[in-house]
Amino acid sequence: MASTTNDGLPPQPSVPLVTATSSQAAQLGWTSRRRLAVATTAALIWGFTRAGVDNQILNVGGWSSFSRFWRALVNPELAGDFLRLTWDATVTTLSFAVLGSVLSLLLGAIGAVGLSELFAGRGMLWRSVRALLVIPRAIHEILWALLLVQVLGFDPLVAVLAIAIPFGAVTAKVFAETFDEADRAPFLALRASGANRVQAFAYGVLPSVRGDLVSYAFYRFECAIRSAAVLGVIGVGGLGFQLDLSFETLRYGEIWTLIAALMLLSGGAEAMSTRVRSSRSRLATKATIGLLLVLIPLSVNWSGIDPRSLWSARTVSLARSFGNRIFPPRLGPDGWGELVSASIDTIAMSVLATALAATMGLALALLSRGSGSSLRSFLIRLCLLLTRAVPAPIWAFLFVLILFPGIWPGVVGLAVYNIGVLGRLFAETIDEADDRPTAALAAIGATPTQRFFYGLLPTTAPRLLALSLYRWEVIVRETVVVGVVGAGGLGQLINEHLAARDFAAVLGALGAMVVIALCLDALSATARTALR
Amino acid sequence: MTPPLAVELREVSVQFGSITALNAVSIQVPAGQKVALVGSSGAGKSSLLRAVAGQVEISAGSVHALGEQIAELRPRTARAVRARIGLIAQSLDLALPLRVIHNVNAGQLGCWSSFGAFRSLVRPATGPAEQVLEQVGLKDRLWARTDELSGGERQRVAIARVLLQVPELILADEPTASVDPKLADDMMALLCRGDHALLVSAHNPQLARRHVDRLLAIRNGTVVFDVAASDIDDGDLLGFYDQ
Repeated sequence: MASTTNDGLPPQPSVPLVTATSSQAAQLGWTSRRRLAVATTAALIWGFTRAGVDNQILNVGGWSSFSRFWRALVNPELAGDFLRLTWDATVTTLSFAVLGSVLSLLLGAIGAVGLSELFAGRGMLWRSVRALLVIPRAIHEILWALLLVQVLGFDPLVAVLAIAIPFGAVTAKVFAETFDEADRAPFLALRASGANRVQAFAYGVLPSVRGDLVSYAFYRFECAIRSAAVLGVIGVGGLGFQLDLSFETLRYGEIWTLIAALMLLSGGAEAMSTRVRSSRSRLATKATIGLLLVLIPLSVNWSGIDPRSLWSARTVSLARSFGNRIFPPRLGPDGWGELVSASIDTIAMSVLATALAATMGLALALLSRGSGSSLRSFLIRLCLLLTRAVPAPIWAFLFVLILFPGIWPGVVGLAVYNIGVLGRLFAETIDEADDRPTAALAAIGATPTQRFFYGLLPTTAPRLLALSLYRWEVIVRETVVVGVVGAGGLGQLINEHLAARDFAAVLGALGAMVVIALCLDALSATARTALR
Repeated sequence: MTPPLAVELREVSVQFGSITALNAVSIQVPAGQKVALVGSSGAGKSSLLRAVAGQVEISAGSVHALGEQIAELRPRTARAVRARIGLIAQSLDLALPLRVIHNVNAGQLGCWSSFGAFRSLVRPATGPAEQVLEQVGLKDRLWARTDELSGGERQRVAIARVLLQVPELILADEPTASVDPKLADDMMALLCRGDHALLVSAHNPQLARRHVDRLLAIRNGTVVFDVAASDIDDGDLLGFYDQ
């Protein structure tokens, strides 16, 4: 590291010929980035200390089960009965995803009207809708599902609503930002010539943002597939549920059949969404949207969803008693100590999982584009699809076999899942990067490693770091997913309170989750500005 | 004895799909000679430079740079040859988020180990970089981020990188395209100073003529004339563009 003193003394002799002004300029320019680097290092060291690093991590005793799981890869269950079961579970997961994302888009569109400056201005309405939407966004789908189960039982509506509520909130935010960032001149011109807000919006704003909205909607659908799979784990059915059952009964062959189905479903949705987002053909987009519209009634029919159960007498009475018992929020039986400790575990888990996922994701993304070998590239991409198609709690279950209980199984489970997500994003970023600086360095004889440090890394690093920070915000929320399977943190605490039917303590812990999510969002936003 | 050749093209053709960028071009540039390529945009100047640098695949003929066919060499040997060739590309090819000093020092990558390159990012030697930046008038921007620089300043950084490299052959594609005329004159003088051979495509042939030894005019992928700079005047050049 170069000198960080600011007393104007000549810097250390090992840097020859440097002048005082240039070293000062270096310091000024580096400050924000350097601070970010120091903060990141400190966070990692703290995370490791919190998680504990000693010989009590690896559980060698579980190695035989762990390796049996991987060996079953070549021996998946292909019996007719099980294939039919897998098919049914796949369709169930798909129907949850379709209905959940459609409902989230409806909610998002309505919410966006309240959030957009075009409609709401920046008055009281805007402020209150904004404040209100923070809460559903901060709580992960799986927590929504756990809460909804208390009122609705194991109804398929639980899965659909658990997806639609948080997704609807984030869609509202994104749609509103899209409206507000669009060129406002056409809108104002129409308003000036007497059109009302809705007319001016429909003719002046919507045409120019339609592509963005459609592309985001498909991205959401892609995420909904993964969420629908995770939700199964808590018992609402579908592939996640079957995976959980097969895991608990140690039928590894079945697991691989289910994983294959998940990969096909996830991969198919991603391929479709990528095509729609990159395609310029209106026709292809329309055909895909048409297909999805057909899927809506089919999904309703398949999942047997009946919205009337939302206002059935049973639901109303359960909701009332749930409402009475959840307010006012309070601490659990072990008081502040437990809540604070679980919160700290949650933060540590998110930091470690993000760092691990980003490092591995970058390594795989770089390997997947290495010179020529398309087979290697294909295998790595398949591997990335595998890691993100399988829900994080399933990975956590797997790693519990070889890691002693604590937060490490949760960290590794979350990291493995997010390697797939980040690896794909990183690979896209690197593919889209300007390759001229790298090519120019190659032409004057730079080695691949040198080209990486002087060409590719500087041009892509800000984007890669920003993606990692965005992902950190998601991972903080996802820690509860591995928490509910026993990996510690707030998720585990909430699950314990739920099991004890201590709903007021559940609300207390949820409050802590919202506060943590908001604080870390703000931290991540600050870090991202430092990158610019 | 004939002097060794810095560049030799024999019947070189370059094809981009159905477009012929170079059509059976043969030229020889002796070591140390300064040559300007003139011709309207799309004539094939950039393709010729990129063919010499080994950045495009040639569809026929052979290219020798500093006596070697780079495309035929093993990576290690090719690297040693490439380290002796300096490049200033039209798009500049600088890593914009890097500081100026690192982009200038990158000129030495061909001679550095990977570790040395990495170490220099953390603790760069500033002396040599400062010296060449002073020559292009950018000494005070040593620590600036390259994306904070204007187009003309970036071009001077690219020139500084090549000056630091001290190559035997410089390939420059419109290196003075976005600087003012006075500065362009200085830059051109700078590029022509030294023992290296120079192949430069020029958007301003009158300017180039004052500094180089020889002019090669290219039209539709073929060389249409090849003269000593002293044998032609600005009027002849204008006549060429009018055709």
